[in-house]
Amino acid sequence: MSENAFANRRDRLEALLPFFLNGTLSGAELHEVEEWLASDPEAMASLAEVESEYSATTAGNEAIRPPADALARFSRALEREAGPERAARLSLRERLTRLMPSMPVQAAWVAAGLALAILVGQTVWINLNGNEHYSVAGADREDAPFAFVTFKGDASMADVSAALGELGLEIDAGPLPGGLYRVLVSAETVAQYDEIAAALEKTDVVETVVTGRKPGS
Amino acid sequence: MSGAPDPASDAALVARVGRGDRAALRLLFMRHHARVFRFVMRQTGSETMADDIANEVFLEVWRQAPRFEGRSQVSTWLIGIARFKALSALRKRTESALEEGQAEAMADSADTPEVLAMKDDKASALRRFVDMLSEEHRVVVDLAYYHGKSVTEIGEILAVPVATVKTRMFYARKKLGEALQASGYDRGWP
Repeated sequence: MSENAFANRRDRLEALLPFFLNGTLSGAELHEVEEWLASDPEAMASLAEVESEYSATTAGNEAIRPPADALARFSRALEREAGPERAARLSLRERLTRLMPSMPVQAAWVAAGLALAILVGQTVWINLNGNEHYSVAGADREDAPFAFVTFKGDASMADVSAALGELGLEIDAGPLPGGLYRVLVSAETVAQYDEIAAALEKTDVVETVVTGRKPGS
Repeated sequence: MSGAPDPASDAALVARVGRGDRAALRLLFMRHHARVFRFVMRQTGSETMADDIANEVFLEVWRQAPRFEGRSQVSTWLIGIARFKALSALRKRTESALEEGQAEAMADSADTPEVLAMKDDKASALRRFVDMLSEEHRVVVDLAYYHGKSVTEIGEILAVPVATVKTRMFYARKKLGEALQASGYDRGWP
C-alpha cells in the first residue's frame, strides 16, 4: 500500500489526524493539518472523532492489568540470567564520599590532600631516621615493601584491579583516611621498587604514588 | 537551559544497564513494563504469553544494552523487541494452546456491530470495534493512540514504510467509522 491509496486530500488528512493529536506530527504535514482544522468545520468534527478513538483505545489498553508481582519475578529471572547480585562497583570518589559522609566532596578532596601531605612528611621522617617499624591499620605483612597510592576519582575498582594486576601489585589496605591505599610492591631491590613505582604512576588510574617501605629498609 | 543529559532519562538508564547496573534495569522495568505487557497482551491475547514475553523483553535489554546506539527512543526499542518476540511466539503457538479467555473473546468478537451496539453506548461500542480491528490495523491504532508513537516510529517497530503506516491508519479509522454508522451512531467521516 502507498499514499496513492488515498482517494483525495481529505482521506490523507484523516490518516494524519491521530498523529496530530498525539503530538508527533511535524513540518509540512503539521502545517497542512493545522490549516485544515482552521478552515474546515468538518475537520474539527473529525478531530472530535479521533479523540473518541483515542479514549476508546486508551481505555482498552488500561483495562489490561499487569501482574502485581511482575517486578519480583523479573528480578529472580534476572538473577538466573546474570548470577547473584554483588555490591555495585563504586568509583574511588564515591568510596571517598562514603568514608566521610558528612563532608562535601570538595572538602573530602582537601582532606585527602592534607592526609597525603602528612604521609609524605611521615615517610620522609621514617627514611631520615631509619625507623624500620612503620605500621598502618590493617597491615599484616609488616616486612613487605609497599607504596601509598591515590587513584583517580573516576577510576572504577575493576580498572584499578586490572592496572595493579598487570604490574603484579595488590592493595594491602585502604581506603585509609584521605582516600589512600597501601599497595604491596613485589620488589627485591630498591631499583626494582623505583621502576615499579614509576610504572604505577604512569597508569591511567593512578593519581599519586608516595614511597612507603622500600626493600631492605 | 543546560545541554547536560538527564541522568534519569531512559537513555541514561540503558547506558547504566550496559555497564551492568541492575538497579537501572529495574527502574526501566518499572517505567515501561505495563505498556510492554499490554502491547504483547493485545498482540497475543494471552496473559501467560504477555507475562513471559514482557520479562524476556527486559532480559533482552540486559543483554543488548551495551550495543544500544540511541537511534530510537528507548520505548520504541522496547516495543520493537516485544513485537518481534510476540510474533515469534505466535508462530509457535497451535490452535490447541488457545486459552479459554481467548476463545471467549473470539466468541464475543463474532457479534455483529448491530448486536454490539445494543449492548453498549457509543464509547463502549467504539472500544469493542477497536478490539475487533484486524491485527495489522489495531496495532497501528494502539501504537499511535496509546503508545504515542509517530508515523516513523511505528514504521520502525512494524518494519514497514511510513506510507504503509498512514494507509493502515486510514483504513483502520474508516472501518471504525463504518462500524459505528452501521450501529446507528452518527459519524461525519467516512
